[in-house]
Amino acid sequence: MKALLLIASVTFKELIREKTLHGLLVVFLLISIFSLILGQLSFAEQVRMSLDFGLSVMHLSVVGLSLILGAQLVQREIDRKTIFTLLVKPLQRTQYIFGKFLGLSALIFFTTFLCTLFLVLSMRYLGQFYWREIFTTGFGQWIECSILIAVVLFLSQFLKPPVTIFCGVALFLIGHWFETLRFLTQKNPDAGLKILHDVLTFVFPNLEIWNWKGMVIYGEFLSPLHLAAAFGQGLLWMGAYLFLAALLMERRDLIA
Amino acid sequence: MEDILTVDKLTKTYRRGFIPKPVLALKEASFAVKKGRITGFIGANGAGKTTTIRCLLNFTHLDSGRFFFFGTPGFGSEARKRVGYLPEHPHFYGFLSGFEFLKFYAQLSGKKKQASEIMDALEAVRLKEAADRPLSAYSKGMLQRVGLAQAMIHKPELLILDEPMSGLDPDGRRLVRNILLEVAQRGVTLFFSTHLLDDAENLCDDIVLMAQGKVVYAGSLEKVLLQSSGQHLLRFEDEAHALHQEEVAGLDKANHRIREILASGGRIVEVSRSRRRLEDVFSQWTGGPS
Repeated sequence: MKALLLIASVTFKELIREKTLHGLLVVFLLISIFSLILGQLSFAEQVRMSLDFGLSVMHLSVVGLSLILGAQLVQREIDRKTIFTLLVKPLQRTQYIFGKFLGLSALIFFTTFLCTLFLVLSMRYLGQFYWREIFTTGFGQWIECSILIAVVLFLSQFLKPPVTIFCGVALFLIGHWFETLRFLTQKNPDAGLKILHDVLTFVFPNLEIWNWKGMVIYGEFLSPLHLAAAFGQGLLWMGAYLFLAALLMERRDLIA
Repeated sequence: MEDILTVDKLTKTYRRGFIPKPVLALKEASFAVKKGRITGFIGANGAGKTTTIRCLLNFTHLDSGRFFFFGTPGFGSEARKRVGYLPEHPHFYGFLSGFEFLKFYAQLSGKKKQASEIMDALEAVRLKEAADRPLSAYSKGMLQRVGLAQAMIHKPELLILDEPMSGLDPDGRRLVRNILLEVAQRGVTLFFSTHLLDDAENLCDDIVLMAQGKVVYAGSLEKVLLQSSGQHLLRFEDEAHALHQEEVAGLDKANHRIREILASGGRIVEVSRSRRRLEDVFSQWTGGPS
């Protein structure tokens, strides 16, 4: 466990210096400021519009960050040969994978926290104090990102980083369009579409489960039980994908 | 002398290319590393040195064969505590200082080190003054030395190094060479791959010579340097006391020539077997240019 936490800690410290992170944070800040200005141009619902826009930008920023950094998390260390100095120590490959996951997930948590804090302060500036709603949405986005990190860690065991990112984006979109896919399946008698729907729902989570933006914006309250159940469900998906990633990691040849 | 590492018929095939084709990287490689000795793992680029090391350290999986560290099969948790490793040109976490870096690797090795012990480890690789500097500010030679320090931080009995002197300037190479000699004097067994034959010749007690995935020689360096030369060097004075030197091929011819010199009134000053350079041996065994 100590070795796992060491890997997580060094991963966090390394990634927090990543230019990709800094770039995305700057983009988030700029777009959020732009959204505040945009909100002022609207006749009504200024706060709701700014909040909706800000939460969406935050969502895309942290998801982008998770996919980009997650896809290269292991391969980069193989290419740079850093992994060889780590795995020669009493450290299992499974511990390494879980440590890397924890490090990046912690970074996404930190980034999401910063973004939510900025949004809370922005809303305060606009005269509304939505701190609980915004943090709840941020929490959901962090769970979703952690699942996506586990997914790309799994995919990166057999795909190159650019292909992993591409597949990650595709799964992100599919994960949010499950309802549309279900609707299409019901309307269309094509057996192929139904099989596709069944397979996708079996191997990949419906990411809308953790998308609480709409509820929050329209003032719906999420009970602690709901949050805990959603968190537990997220943990199961993370665990499943991390287990598969670790299984493949144990079997693969590490070649720079 | 006890074998600290025994390698028996390692075979490894990689699959390369868009339509993967098997490429034989190791073919029944067998050798042993003796305790307390410095063993050079020599071969041209692509000979299979790095693949062998990666198979031994479980980074890649073997097709067939077996190996033993300290008499125990495979590279298990016990062996990990007793082996140190440094890959060729590794990248380390540049944001860590030399001190933090060694502390991290010591913790990862399961050793709780005092600050003074970490400073001693840095001192051993002549980096005490750079302890607080981030690794991103280290030169290539300094990174290689701090890499050596991380490999030795848990006081291993066997140190496996992949091309430890490759890419360093002459001063850097000398420094690393001296550090390795100091480590060996403390009783640590060294096994390092290199294609720098001068370094191997200066440092090694034993060599394992690889060519095209096969071990072509494994044993004493001294023995192979003497064995591979059939030449004998004769130094003698003629009847007028003028000094001469001749190289004669083969023992019989050398004996015959000695008798001739003595019969003609000359005196034998010295008879020795010519010692060839490792480079010549390498070319001979690997079929390269002589």
